[in-house]
Amino acid sequence: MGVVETLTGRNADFAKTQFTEGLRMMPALKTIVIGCVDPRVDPEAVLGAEPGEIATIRNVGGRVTPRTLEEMMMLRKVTQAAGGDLGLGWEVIVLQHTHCGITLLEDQPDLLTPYFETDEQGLAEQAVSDPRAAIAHDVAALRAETRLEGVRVSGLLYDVATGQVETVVAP
Amino acid sequence: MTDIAELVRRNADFVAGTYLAGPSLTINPTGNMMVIGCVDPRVDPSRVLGVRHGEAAVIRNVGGRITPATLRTMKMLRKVGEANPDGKASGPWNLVILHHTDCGMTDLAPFEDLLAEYFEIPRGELAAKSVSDPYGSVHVDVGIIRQEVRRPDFLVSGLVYDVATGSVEVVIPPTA
Repeated sequence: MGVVETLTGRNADFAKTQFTEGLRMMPALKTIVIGCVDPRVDPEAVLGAEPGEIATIRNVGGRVTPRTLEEMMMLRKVTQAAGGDLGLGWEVIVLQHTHCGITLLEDQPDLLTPYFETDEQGLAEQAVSDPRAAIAHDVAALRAETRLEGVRVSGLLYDVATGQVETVVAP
Repeated sequence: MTDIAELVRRNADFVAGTYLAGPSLTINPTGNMMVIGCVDPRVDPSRVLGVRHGEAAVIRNVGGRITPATLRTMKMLRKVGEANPDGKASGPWNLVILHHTDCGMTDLAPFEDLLAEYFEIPRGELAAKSVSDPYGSVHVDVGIIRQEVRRPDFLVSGLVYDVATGSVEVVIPPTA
């Protein structure tokens, strides 16, 4: 059976037995998680989020790039359209992980410099081979973002060898 | 306000359940698939498609769209995949584009500057992106992938999830 047939079959089960009616576009926990594409690190799964609780951006490394900030601004507009604002009372969690594939791109500045929209010198600051430093960097970038004033930001590190999450930067 | 401690506590349940009970995983998705879906909290691709732990790489952006940034991301992921031959599943690679009804992207229609920057196109060309119609937008995005990737072992499909019913509709069946 093809992948799509398998997934639509599982969706039929989901729709019949697990679908929750009445969920809203605004995350119930007023929380946005920025996580990695890696199949081992599904943010909802590893943090035990229930349907509708968190909004999730997943990109390479779970990084805060200029593109990520641009998406946050889009989400802020959507929140405003719903009558709220992405500010006080909201949380952003940066969730990165050990053994991330981005470390394998360290010698590929032609891929990394456009991703971070920086130059080769600026790449060192992005700490792509050190998740703790990368988390600290990205939390600082979010906290420095004046357009996200009032949002609480924290940084978590997921260990793919144990399944455990560690709080690297507390909210 | 979220209690981060609560999510960390739930992580302990994940470790005791899914993590320890599951197979050992590598960076390569065991299902040979990547799903591109939306940030929306109602449309977690893993949950609505029943993706098992480790089965799929998942990109989530505003709308689940194929933008130039998404294509750059895919290029990076391909490099990572090439550097990790271990644990690669056999068979074709599957890219599943998952859009949904009642997407917040519709609320962004008046903000043409934001959208033009997101899609890296002039404002005058935004209509072609079908931001207010998920059935149109999966066609647009599958079309981009077909132009960018021409390989017989690379299947792309377009699905729409209905937030009112929980059901997924295959709008564009997998094709190379």
